[in-house]
Amino acid sequence: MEAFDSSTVTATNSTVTGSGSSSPPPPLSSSPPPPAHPPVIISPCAACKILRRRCAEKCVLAPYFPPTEPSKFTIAHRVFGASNIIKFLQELPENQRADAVSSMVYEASARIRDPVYGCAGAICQLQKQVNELQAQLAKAQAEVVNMQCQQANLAALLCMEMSKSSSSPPQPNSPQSVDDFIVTSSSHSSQENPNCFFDDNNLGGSLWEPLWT
Amino acid sequence: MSKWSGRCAACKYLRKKCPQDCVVAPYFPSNNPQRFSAVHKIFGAANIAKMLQLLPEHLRMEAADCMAMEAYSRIEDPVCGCVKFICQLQQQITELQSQTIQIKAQIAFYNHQDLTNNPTFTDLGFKYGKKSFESATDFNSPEL
Repeated sequence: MEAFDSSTVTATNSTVTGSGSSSPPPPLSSSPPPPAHPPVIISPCAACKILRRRCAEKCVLAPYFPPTEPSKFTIAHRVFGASNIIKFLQELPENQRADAVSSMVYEASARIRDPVYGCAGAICQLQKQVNELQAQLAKAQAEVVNMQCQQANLAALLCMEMSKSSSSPPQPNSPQSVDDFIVTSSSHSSQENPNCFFDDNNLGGSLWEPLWT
Repeated sequence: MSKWSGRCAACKYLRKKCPQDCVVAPYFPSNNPQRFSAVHKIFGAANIAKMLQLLPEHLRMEAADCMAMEAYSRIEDPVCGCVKFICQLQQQITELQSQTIQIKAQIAFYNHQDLTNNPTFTDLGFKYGKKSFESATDFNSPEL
């Protein structure tokens, strides 16, 4: 008689069922097989921990107040209260609840930081900052426009000057520029610019007066 | 009955007697029941009283006003509340700061490119004289 031990049975089973499959051989011992997955222990959420209650499977607060961040719920609970938080979240669709929790925690922490003004104080400060920046920007923009105007005016003056010097022939006894004056006064000859003959008697004081004001 | 003539909005809402020393009565008068209703919906009556009690008396009215403002914002926008204003303002500040940096860069460019470095313009200044020159422009060159 063949002795059917577990190994034979299991080997037969594997050849019958696992045609071509390479599944690992089952254990030879006759002890009961270990459980497929280890038991998962779900820690209560931060809200239920702080409220000291059993964290239900479908706890509304659990997804948004993980046990790793207890301060988040503490802050929100201190200002809004747990029942209000649950009420808010239940009224919102699930895809908006995370954002709602973030904004509530932010608002609550602002109120704890500043018990009188809370978020309103932060809004006032930011508004003041915006006003200051707008004034600074307006001032800077005015400065830029002013500089652009200055440059445009100077360019216009330069064009005028150039057109004058090209259109009118140079006067024999008056220098065209400061450089000419210096050249003619030092050399008393004007090879480069024969028209700039300079004579002390023809100083043209009226021409020079504006320079020395 | 509180000294504030009749029950305050809080005690009316909560359907209880309004004591003489009702903490919230001065800040939630009976003629504005919506104010307390909004604040109660968001913060809860117990929290309001607790928060106001912790503050000195001269600051309680402002605190109540701010809480009312936050409550109205939260009722209007249950997701963001008044935090959306903070986000909008921070965004505005960032934009203004970047615009200011751009404009200051332009000013620096004009200053660098400017008149004191350009001998033609300096000659013009000498030729026409400082006064007539300044009447046309607002020229602040140190050399003139």
